[in-house]
Amino acid sequence: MISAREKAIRYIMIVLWLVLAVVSLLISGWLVVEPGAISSEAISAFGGILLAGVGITIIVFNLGDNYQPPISHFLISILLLLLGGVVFLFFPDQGVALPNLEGDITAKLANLLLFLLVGFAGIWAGLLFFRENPAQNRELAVKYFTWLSVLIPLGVLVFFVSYTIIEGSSVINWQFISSSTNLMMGKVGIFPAIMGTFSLIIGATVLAVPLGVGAAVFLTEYAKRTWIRQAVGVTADCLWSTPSIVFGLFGYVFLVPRITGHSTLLAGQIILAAMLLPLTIATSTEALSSVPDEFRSGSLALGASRWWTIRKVILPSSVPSIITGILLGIGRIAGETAPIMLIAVASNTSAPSFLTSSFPYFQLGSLFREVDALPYRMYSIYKAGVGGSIDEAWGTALVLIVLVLMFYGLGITVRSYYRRRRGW
Amino acid sequence: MFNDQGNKEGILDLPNQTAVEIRNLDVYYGEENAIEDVSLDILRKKVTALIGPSGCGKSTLLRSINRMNDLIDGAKVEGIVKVDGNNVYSKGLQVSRLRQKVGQVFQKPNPFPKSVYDNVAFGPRAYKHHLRKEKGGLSSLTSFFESGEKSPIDGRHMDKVVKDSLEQAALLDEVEDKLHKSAMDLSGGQQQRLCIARCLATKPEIILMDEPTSSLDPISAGRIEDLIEDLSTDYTVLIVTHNMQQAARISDKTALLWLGELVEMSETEELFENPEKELTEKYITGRVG
Ligand SMILES: Nc1ncnc2c1ncn2[C@@H]1O[C@H](COP(=O)(O)OP(=O)(O)OP(=O)(O)O)[C@@H](O)[C@H]1O
Ligand SMILES: [Mg+2]
Repeated sequence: MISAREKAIRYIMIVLWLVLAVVSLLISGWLVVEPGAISSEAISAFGGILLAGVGITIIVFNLGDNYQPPISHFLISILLLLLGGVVFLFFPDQGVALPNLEGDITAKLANLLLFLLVGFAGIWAGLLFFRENPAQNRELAVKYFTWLSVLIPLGVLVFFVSYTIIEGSSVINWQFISSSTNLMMGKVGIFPAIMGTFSLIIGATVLAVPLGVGAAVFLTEYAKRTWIRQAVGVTADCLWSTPSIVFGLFGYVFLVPRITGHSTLLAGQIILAAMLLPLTIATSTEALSSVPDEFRSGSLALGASRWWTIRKVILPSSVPSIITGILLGIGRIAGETAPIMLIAVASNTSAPSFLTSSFPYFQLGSLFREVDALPYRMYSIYKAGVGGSIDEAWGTALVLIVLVLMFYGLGITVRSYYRRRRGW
Repeated sequence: MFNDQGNKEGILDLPNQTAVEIRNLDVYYGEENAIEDVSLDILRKKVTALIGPSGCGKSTLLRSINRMNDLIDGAKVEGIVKVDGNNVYSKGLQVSRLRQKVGQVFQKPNPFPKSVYDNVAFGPRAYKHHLRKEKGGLSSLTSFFESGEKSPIDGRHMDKVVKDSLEQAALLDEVEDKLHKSAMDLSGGQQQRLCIARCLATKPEIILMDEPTSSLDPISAGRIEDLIEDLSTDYTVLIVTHNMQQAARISDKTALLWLGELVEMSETEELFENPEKELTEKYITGRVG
């Protein structure tokens, strides 16, 4: 057992380190948002506090006789903290300069990383004083670490999205999203870009998904030889990691001259479909081959044909995973600028429209015209100042994110519907 | 039975009481000879048990009757297997018809990830679909579902098929109020009875069971055994089992396989009480195997 006094000391140490760790993490976050917000003096002071903390910890560590944390953990965390303290105290201005958007050099990349590192080491040091049992400490450390590894990406995501919302929401209004830009009247609107991106995504999905799922069905259910599967798998992976501009180039050289000779929505849809296809094949193959063989033999033994088995048993139970894969792909192609730049887009075109007011109420002419697209619109605003200010670029980004999230929402709804029916 | 004349009544009139006739059967997996020159008859509306040590080819023999061996890469079957007098390996045979007449229940319960109802209706729906694609079209459906009152396309008729099959599989009482819930939520024993119901729904004549109770607890296993005894009044059952008591309890005839060869096949009582072969005696008393 440990005495009340030692217990108290231990709690003090935990609080000390957790507070220091949180402060350190906050500083690193702050440096991301506002480079240069923290003065060299403040950094030096923090370094001093850190060194004092390290000193106290070493003393306490030597005092406690009943409780000795695992020495290696102790040494590593203390050494990291010591390093941080020394650098902050004596060299607060060192590090790689990080320019902010206005071009002033203010933040120090190395400092930013070191604050992150010190944050982790501080949590680690605090945990060392948590329990008497080293094994329990390790469990705890793992637990908090996994929590952190969830929180950090989540934090980055929340940061991106909320920053976009803050920056972009000021320009968002009904006129912005529902009309087109008219420079003469000083009006900025991104409706054509919204419809353009929408048409590109829908077209690419409609082209790629049946083909991709079909290929996956062939590979898993009919192709007996595994080498075919492997070959297709490797090819799909290579295609998926091919830079998108290469797809654009291919479209420009092979597709555009064969369609109309100029940029068209159709060419964009086809090229984006070609980019989406490999991921669809790979994830669908994975999904189909993870369906247990018992389902196949169970169905065939009832006299069902192979095709019936695929339609009624195998595809329904792999729909959730297939959709997940397609969603990933859509998320990527929705934001692509490079490939469509060469083959499908032009600024300030009108929105594609497929519906007409007279019979047959539908026309394909828009497929053969240029479109505008959200990512391209952002690019041209940022690069050339065409069609709006930087605020409008943020607004466009926000709309793009919302559009992608809408597709995700749709996909997730369908997925959970099938998952509920599946129940395995 | 695979051509349209062979309805159930017609077959019953035959003096021949053999449901399955196996002659000089050899099954190879690649080079390995898993079944070697086996010949045996399986009697109509009797329970036949297949026993033998692990790897002796029981499952292989079972699968060669409904041609599930076709699914295995490199499996090759030689010899004759006749179901109701038709060679199942003849060229013109429709495998899906064969499998609908010769149902199979697997070792591990394998209900589909669908509702209880959809599981049972699966076979008839598939059959209906396949028939529609054939020349005879829907008219032959009535001869398939003996009840003959209504076409099974009728929703109410499907309800009846599902309920009857569940009833026959002694499961209806337990699942009546969860017919539209996922079958994956049933217990292991219930799932296995559901698989039997699913198999019964296609109106098979012969049911192949490959160790149907080995993944179940003793009570569930007992219920399946009772069920098999009930089924034997209407169906021909061929069951593989590792459990000699089970074979003795439920079967009329028992066959012992050894390294792919048939050692002995006779009345169950006979085989367990005075086996003809020394090997049989050794095996059933647990001195080999
Ligand atoms: N899919 C397969 N591919 C290759 N060989 C197989 C396959 N299935 C079975 N075999 C071989 O065929 C032989 C008979 O196997 P089988 O599964 O019929 O035995 P079994 O009597 O059912 O055994 P158990 O009681 O363990 O189920 C075994 O030697 C086995 O290795
Ligand atoms: Mg077996």
